[in-house]
Amino acid sequence: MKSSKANLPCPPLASRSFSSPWLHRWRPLPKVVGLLALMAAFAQVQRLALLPLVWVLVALLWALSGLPLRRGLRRLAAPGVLLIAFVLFLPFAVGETFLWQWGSLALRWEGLERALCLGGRSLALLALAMLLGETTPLPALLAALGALGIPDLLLELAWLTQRYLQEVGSQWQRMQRAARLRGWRPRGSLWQPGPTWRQDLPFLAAAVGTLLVRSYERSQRVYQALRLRGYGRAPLVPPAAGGDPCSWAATGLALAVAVGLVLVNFGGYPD
Amino acid sequence: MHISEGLLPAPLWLGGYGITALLTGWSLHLLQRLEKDPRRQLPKAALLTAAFFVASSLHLPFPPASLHLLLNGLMGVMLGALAYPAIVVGLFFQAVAFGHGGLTTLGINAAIMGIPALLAGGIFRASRRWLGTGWAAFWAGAVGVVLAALLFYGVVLAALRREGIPSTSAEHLALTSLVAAHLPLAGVEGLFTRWVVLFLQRVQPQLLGEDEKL
Repeated sequence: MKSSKANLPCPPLASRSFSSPWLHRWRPLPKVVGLLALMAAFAQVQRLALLPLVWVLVALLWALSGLPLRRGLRRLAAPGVLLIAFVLFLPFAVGETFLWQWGSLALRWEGLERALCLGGRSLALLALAMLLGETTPLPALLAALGALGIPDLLLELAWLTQRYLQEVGSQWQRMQRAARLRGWRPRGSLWQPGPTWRQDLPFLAAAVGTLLVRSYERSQRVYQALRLRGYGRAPLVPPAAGGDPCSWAATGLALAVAVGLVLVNFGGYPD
Repeated sequence: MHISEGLLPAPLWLGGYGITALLTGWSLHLLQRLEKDPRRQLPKAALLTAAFFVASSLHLPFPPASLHLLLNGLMGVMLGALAYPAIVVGLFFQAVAFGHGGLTTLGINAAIMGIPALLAGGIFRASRRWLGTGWAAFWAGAVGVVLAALLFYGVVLAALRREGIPSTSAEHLALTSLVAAHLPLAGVEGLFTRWVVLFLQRVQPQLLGEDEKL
């Protein structure tokens, strides 16, 4: 393999440019355990009364991460079509207590409560997933997942995929730019397929085919280069380092909060 | 076709993780059993996963919006059993890096995309001799989309039922119309898969698993 980039360490998913006083210092293995436990607990929350607590926890963790708030709000602003459909649909479809009615259209309290709960829970989970990704470098995240029992082959597949994702993306952009320079412009639509559009789809298929062929050829060279550097004799993803007592104490606290949330959610605690 | 975080009740997303653990384990076991050096397949699977990840961002104009290709059928055709772990990895990156889908719903999303990919790969291999490569690829691509749509809406309807919307006739109507709405996409994806596979057959037939055991 000619590229010297292959010897560079894997670029982290997390951006290290933000100074973070605490969440970056929470060691990856205890952090993954703690945040996954919190996510599992948040996903169980069905009581609207528990949502403020959930969001206080998210805000606290966010503050400890040192990430800019704008970055989070930008990501949370696009939670997905399905979530929006659920949140808009439920208040008009579920429940018997009418808050407002216009003809057959009625806003119902029970549906509104569920929509608020579902939307709040969903955004809190997205925020936690984002915190995990933004504050943990990918090799450390994969090593922590390995320590939790994820198979080595799957971790290595993830490591290699992430390693070449950006490169394949750049190649795809170069191919599209070259096609445009040669005069190709995507036109027409599935709605009104003109002659150009009918030519576009086979052209795009050939472009994707070319990308796959180039990726495959590159993969053969990558494998040979990796073998020369001892791939297969030593793990590609290093074993996870343990954690300091402070990190495990934080994980213990997160586990306690998670168990408490689940117990309160299912334990008949009054709303 | 991602299910966002927090939409599903615990039994569904935990069940999704169970299915994904089983199928990923089976796929990796198959890789270890059939290959002398199972790691030999990983760079190929990783680079193709990256290529699929990039190519699935391709948007086709479909007024008033646009649609993007799933390419799960094509993954099944090219990667065989390794398509399932590749989809798990792709969805993991989408969840952690871009916030699409989610970590709690990773298992169920992988099942929605991965089971049709495995079946599409099986359909391609089983029907290639008597349908020909092109039409076998067409059906693999189309079936990948239709099955993914069926699974997706089945899971969504199960979640809606959990939220207290049990109307059976409404469910049937919604399921039928939504799957019908996906038929044009299935046709486009089938044609696209057919063209890609015919291209690969001319240029690099090894990519269609002709010398692979998986």
